[in-house]
Amino acid sequence: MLFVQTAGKRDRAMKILLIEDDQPMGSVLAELLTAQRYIVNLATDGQTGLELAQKFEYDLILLDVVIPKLDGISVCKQLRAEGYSHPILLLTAKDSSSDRVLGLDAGADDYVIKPFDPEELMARIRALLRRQQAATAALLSWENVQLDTVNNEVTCQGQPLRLTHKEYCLLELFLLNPKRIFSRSAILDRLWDFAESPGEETVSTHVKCLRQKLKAAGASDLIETIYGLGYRLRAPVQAAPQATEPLVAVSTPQQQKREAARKKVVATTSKVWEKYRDKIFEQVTVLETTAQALAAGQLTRSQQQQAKQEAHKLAGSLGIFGFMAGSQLAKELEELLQSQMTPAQAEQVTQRVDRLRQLLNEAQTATATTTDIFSSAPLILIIDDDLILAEQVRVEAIAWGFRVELATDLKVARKAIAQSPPHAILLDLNFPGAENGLTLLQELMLRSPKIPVLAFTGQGDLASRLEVVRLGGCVFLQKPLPTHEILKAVTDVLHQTQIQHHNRVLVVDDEAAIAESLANLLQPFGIAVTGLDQPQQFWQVLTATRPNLLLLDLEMPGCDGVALCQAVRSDPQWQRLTILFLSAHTESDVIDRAFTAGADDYLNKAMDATELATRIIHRLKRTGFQLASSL
Amino acid sequence: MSKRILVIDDESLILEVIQGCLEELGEMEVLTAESGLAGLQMAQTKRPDGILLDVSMPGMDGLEVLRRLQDHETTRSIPIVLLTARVQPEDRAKFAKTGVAGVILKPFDPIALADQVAEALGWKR
Repeated sequence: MLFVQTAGKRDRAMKILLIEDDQPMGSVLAELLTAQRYIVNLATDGQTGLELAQKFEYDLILLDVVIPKLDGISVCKQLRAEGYSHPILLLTAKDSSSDRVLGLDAGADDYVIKPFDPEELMARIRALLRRQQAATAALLSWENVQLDTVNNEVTCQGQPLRLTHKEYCLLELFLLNPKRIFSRSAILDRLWDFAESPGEETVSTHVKCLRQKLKAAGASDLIETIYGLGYRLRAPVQAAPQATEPLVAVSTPQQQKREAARKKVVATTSKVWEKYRDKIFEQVTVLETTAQALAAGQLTRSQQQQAKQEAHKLAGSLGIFGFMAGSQLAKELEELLQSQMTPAQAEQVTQRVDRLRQLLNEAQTATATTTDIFSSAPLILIIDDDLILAEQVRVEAIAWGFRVELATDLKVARKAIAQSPPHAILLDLNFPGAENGLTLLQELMLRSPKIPVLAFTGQGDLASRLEVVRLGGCVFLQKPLPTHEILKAVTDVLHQTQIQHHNRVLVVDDEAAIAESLANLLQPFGIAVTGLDQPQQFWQVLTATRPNLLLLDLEMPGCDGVALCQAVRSDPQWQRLTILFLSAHTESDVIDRAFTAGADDYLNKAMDATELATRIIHRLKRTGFQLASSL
Repeated sequence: MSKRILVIDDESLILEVIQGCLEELGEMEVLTAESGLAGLQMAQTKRPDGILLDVSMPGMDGLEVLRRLQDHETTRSIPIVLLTARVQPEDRAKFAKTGVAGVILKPFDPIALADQVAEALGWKR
């Protein structure tokens, strides 16, 4: 015998709207209906009743004819005119046959005369609901899952499936509306009483439980999460003749057509980028001007407002052209520019604007086309058996511009990593069975090239943290954590990893041999060295090479290293660049001058070249850059 | 017959990208409007099968356009998908109450956009 955990056939989560102005009568009716396990919403006038019926979905409306603001007949007429198709049962006075006739003409299905016998009223409600149910399929099927709406029974592969009341209602909702996408809030409206007003996470939890039970019973995942919208019944997979066919990708004419269309879209997007690139750079310039005014304490309200608008536009557009990190930076800027800023927030604005400019400059100088940028959108692998959480992160991650793959167990994860190595992994540590996340983390650390792993776990104890660090995990995130925090951590990790390709030192010294010997020493560590022996070209070379570290000679013919340092420090785009002085001078006042101008360190030219290289590597590491040899 | 969709967004670069995406990958007939007001007029005269509407626009914003579309007899039955860069949960709850067919977040993936729009509008692909 198969069953769901509901007591009888009539006590499904039917929602009834009761429109009745007489309070004692309304209370009695509401109690009667609630006792029969119907969900009841009460409206005390016609206008409110009409609005509720328009806003929420009810299985039946119990409608008094004589009610204030808008009479019952008009409510009935209007609802039918708007396409409301569920039963309407009128409550009329004994002596008012004209009301009954008018009501039935207006689209009511039946009436009950006041004072009524409660038993009769319930019987009429049941009859109307049955009639409504009979109009829908009695047996709903999806692949190997069957739901019998008459007996409230669910089976999978012929075996009974034990579902809770809400899980049953959810399944029925999806099966009855195979094409429709239900947002979490729409599901709440349909299946919960608004007086209960649970959060939308309640829906996620019930969907998760339903998915797990179906999976355990051998069904495929029939509920599809639709990006940004909600849930929908997945299209059932047809009996698969492919299983006997060779596993070779055969491209059908339709697939070929789609691939051609895809290429056209990429080409169009690329053209639009070319066309509007200058405009986008102008928007960034507005943000730069704002950051400068902010730093100088001269930001006007209208300037801030304009900057906020530009940031908003950039947030919405950059990602479309593949600059997902740019969109994220712009979003953060938009948020920062919402209100008056503290000095710390002003500093954050400057940092983000700099990074945004840097990102776009790199894209402009890089040979990559927009097509390349699309295919290189970072791929994140989420390894977590908590499907709901993983889905939440996935949906949000797509909005952040990541490509995302999900693996709900370690076996699937290993396969996914082997097939397409992700740029970063978000790894839960707890999995049922002998293996846990740490096992995989250990394997990943032996892998080359390495993939940054963010451990994401409910275990926040020190031992777990230490173990993750010991095994080479780069970030430890403790559940629960808001999705945007998780993705911010992923973005930061990716940003750091990307920078490794741009480790570059600019050596400004009239003795070209210094740069040459440093280049030989630093190249094996993945650090490119650019030498400049003519300081007059300093600014052009600086902006063209975009170094992470600047090594300046103190005295050069026709040029003072300290002046160059000051020039760099006074430019908002470059003011945080690491600057080291390299000089033969050892007098303390000279050294003081260098530090006052903004030097990060002062190195003696007498220093051995190997030691000098080591000092530079340490400096780069301290600024957060990873070196090729340590990855 | 291909579906006719009206896209309302104040940014011309977004309009151009969307037009390309929906025409090529969605095989839709695309009408565009660069302001809420122009969008409203076009919706009334051209009667599109669906509307993709940016929320954040200067002057008449998307939610006001939505309200007017839903109020007007000739446009109230046209399904509408919102396009927004706002992702706060409270925004999502607010949008859910407006009776729109779906919400698509900016920045969108140009390759996936046509599918997302078609899904939200319930158009068979």
